[in-house]
Amino acid sequence: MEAGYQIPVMALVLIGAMLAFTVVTTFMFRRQKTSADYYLAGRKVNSFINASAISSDYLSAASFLGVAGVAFLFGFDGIIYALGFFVGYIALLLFLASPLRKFGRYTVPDFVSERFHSKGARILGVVGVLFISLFYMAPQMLGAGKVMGLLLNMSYEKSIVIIALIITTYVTVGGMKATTVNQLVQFWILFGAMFLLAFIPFMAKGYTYTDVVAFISTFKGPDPMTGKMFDGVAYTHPAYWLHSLKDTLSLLLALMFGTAGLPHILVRFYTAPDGKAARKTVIYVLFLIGMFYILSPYVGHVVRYVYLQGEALGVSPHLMKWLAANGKNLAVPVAGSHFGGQVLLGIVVAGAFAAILSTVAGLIIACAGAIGHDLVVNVFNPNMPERSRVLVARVASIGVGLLGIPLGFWAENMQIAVLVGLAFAIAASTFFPVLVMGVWWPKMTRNGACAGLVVGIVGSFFMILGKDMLPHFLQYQNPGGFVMLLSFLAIYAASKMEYASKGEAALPPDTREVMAILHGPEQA
Amino acid sequence: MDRIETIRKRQLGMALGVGIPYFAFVIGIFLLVYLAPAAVTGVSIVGFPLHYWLVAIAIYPVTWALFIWYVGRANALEDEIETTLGGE
Repeated sequence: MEAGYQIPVMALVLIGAMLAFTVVTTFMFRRQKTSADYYLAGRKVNSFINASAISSDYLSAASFLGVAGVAFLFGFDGIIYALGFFVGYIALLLFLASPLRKFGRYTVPDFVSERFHSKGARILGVVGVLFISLFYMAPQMLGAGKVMGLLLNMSYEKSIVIIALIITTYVTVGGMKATTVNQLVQFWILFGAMFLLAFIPFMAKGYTYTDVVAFISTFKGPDPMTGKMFDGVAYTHPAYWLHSLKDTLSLLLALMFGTAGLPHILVRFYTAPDGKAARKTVIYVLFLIGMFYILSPYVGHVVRYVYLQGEALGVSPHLMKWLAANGKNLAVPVAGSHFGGQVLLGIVVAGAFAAILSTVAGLIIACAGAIGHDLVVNVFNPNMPERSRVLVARVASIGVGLLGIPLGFWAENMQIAVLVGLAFAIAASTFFPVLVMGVWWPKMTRNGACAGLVVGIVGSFFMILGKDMLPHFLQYQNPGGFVMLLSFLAIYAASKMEYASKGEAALPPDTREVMAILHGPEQA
Repeated sequence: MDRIETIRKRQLGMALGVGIPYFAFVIGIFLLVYLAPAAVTGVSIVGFPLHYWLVAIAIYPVTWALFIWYVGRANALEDEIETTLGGE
């Protein structure tokens, strides 16, 4: 522990209060009679509650810590993340929210397998869920480890292990009902924290967005901690970080369409009572997250503003050191400590934990659904009794939750929003094309679905993890937009070829009935 | 079943009718900002640079207004479908 470092007791009390609430609700909702209760909270969640829970699910560490962090780091270019994350809900609202709810299955693999009568598509769907969710979980663990380190001066590794154990216990015991109740409360904690972080500098200090941007844009000089040259004009102009149009567009497409392929968000729409409620839910979500995404780039810019002036604005050396080393991920808690001392630091860190806890919980539920429900029950043992299904769900939750530990270690030196952007890339190129075409194109075939999933999974795997092995023109900072287009093409080409060779027999026999469910009146 | 096909096409037409212009608007803003930065970075409205206005502020209320209207229309279509097909 750093010499002279004082544990912020007040901050810990606030975080403890939030964790205590989580524990109480988790135990209140621990009895799950059926697997529908465990995965979908009995499908009876009110629109506003669901919207708060979805927003909480969605506003992960990437949004809470990452968007302000990326704005702190890259200035104007960082705002593309806020906008992309927000616009992502539109594709979901327009093309998927209502039909998926009407179809009424648990998971995305459920949809692809029942729409195309294909176990292969289900297994590919499971691979897709795991690939996306684990990629999404890594930056959450990174955020948790860094924030806990800042707060307690604890080692990153120890923080990761503690967080993984807390989240795993809470999801495994509580399931979706407890998760929904906690997410509702957690949303308002994290939203309140971001609101205060914007409100205090704006109202108490008079740092308007206009003044902050104007100051930064005229600053040219050495970084106060690293001594590197900082050019404020470039920072507040486009293309400070996103130099190539190809990269910018691919990133924007990934963020715009990735949301509609995120399993932990899609599964939430199955908890709405009907299709209309699912649509209404998205509107509430748009309001809640929109307000959040207006505030967080402002906070990132404010942190840059105070960092550049350092001592002149009374920023403590401890916080300056943290900003220089970890500003990309810790701009938000540092702002909390600077503007509101221990109390605001406590609220902000509680908000960060709320964001991380709720998102990882949603991811674990989605992965547990994919493993327990899609793989174990539907592929290996369709006659499994209901009680055993709940047990399988819980065991799968433990396994996935503990995977958060190695994922957190792997992600240690990355930027949260950039890493989550890659999870969006996989979602945009894997599930979004298959779901949209599956819902709206009656002539899509089984081969088309499998081709889209394979291109999405394999394409994003190589373009993200094997990027350096590819020729330069195929190297993207975020390949989501590019692979998504390939996946759409693969679905179209494979479906057309299968239809050309087999005629009507290429289509699933119940296509008309399925279209009637997806687009017709709500089934009673 | 042919009626379902007609409904599907109406729903798709409504979604694309709103979605295509909206996504074109969002992508258009980015193309404008990244391809012609000089056209936007030099302009300020109430002291705030235009590119910040467009990307960080203005897009949100535009989106809220457009999609509240869209959900109203989509749900009205849903009611119409229920009335015409509900008894079948």
